[in-house]
Amino acid sequence: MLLTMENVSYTYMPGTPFEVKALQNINLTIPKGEYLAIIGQTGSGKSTLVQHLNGLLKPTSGKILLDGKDVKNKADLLALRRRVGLLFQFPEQQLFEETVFADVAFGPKNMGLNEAEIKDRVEKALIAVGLSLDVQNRSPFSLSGGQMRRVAMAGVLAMQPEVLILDEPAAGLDPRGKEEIFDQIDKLHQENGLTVVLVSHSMEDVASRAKHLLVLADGQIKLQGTPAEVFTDAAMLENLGLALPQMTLLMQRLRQAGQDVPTDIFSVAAARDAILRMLEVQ
Amino acid sequence: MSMLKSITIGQFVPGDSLMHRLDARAKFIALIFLIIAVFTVNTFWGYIIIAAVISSLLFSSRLPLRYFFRGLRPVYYILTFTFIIHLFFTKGGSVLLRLGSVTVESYGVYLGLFMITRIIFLVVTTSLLTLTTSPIALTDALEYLLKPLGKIGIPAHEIAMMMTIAMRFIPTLMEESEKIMKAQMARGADFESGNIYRRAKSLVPLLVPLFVSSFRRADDLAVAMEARCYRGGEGRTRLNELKAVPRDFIAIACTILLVVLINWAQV
Repeated sequence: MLLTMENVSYTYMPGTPFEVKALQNINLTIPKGEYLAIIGQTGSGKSTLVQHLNGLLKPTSGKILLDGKDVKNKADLLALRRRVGLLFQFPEQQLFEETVFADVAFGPKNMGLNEAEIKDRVEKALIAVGLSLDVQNRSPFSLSGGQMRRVAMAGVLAMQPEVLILDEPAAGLDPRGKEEIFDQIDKLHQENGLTVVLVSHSMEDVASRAKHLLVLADGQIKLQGTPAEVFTDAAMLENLGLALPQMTLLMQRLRQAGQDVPTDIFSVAAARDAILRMLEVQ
Repeated sequence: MSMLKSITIGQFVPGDSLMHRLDARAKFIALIFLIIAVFTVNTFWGYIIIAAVISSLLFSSRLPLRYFFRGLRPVYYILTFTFIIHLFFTKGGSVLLRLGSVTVESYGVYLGLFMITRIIFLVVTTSLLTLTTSPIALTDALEYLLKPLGKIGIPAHEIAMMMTIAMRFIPTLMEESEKIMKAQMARGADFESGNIYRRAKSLVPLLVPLFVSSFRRADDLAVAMEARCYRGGEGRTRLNELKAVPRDFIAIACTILLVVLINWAQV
């Protein structure tokens, strides 16, 4: 097991009137090669949870294990941060350097790598997020919003983490930009074998991509499993304010109407195939 | 992150005590008289009276006392420094301690203790105002009290609006700096170790994004305000009119009485 959370609870501002129990008894294991999506509404504790996974927050109670080893001292923590990359929501807001190159190089520099290695990593990271190397010497603030987000993503990838956590990576992007970012993440998962943890409030965006889903509400894990498993409990999801992907809903309705279609369908393309097959049989 | 948390000192804590219900203007004026009392008192019994008044005020706010003492944390250094300076440099009375040519004399100890008590009173009473008054009520009160100064060209409304906006954005900015700090820490930034020069340099990745977003936010806010026809204080009505009731005047009268009493007793 790469990353494990054992009975993790976290409370914001304990002992004040502003106290909030953000996480309660979270147990979670993330094996190597996992593609996990954490889904929940605003305030469900998603962001708090992922910040534990790379040591930015320390659990109020419970443990975080890396390779089965408790993360205790500063050396463990640095190792954890190196192996687990975290990209925050609206990451373009964290850019600060004069050039794209310098910004992407910030992480590797902090790791104490040499010039040649840094240059190599920066280039690889920029290519991995689908940017051309021409942008290297431009100011990150002269780029478009979508490009800035890619630069920020490259900044995390340049540290070559084993696990990549992305908090709402598509927030505020148009449908095309959204699709592109998610495709890029899929590619990193498939080609580079990156373990991916995706945080989202939208089933639609992640259901067809992730291997496993984890539904979070009020700081607790409500449902967990493959997308097909999670979607069987449609009533529960609705209660939590989460909608099924539209195509899954369509398939469930067809099934209720007496048609023989599979219900583990999450994307338009898969739905099209299933409906065509249904019509052929008829 | 502890650095960010300590800025929340004096943050408004909602409640329904007498202190919370007093008119913000009355609290402001009463605070001024209390501070005058704190600064004019110079006898032992005077201090005892003021301590009694202030502690009864603290209790009447029905807030946990640790909130007030938390407010003292940033002035620990000033307290220590003040005491030490008085200890060694204020002369008079009997010699308590002699280290070579350096002496500690009784008057120094006496004055040092008085001074730090004075600073503690000052901080605690000011926290009492900010802990029990919402920032909006506070700036409304300030606007009202500054209004007479409009005649000599002081833009009371604009000053109050600037303060309201500034206070409104303190939590936002703190949240944002925490987020950016974390984002940079996730990229291996270290804000906590190294010498002063290194630490100052390590703030660049925090400050640049913070400035960029603050300017953008200020711009957005200006546009949003103009879109809703904001054009300054003239002729502007308000949602919550401040209304003074007898207890507000009584509160002010009590503090004036305290100042008179203290000064009269010391003559």
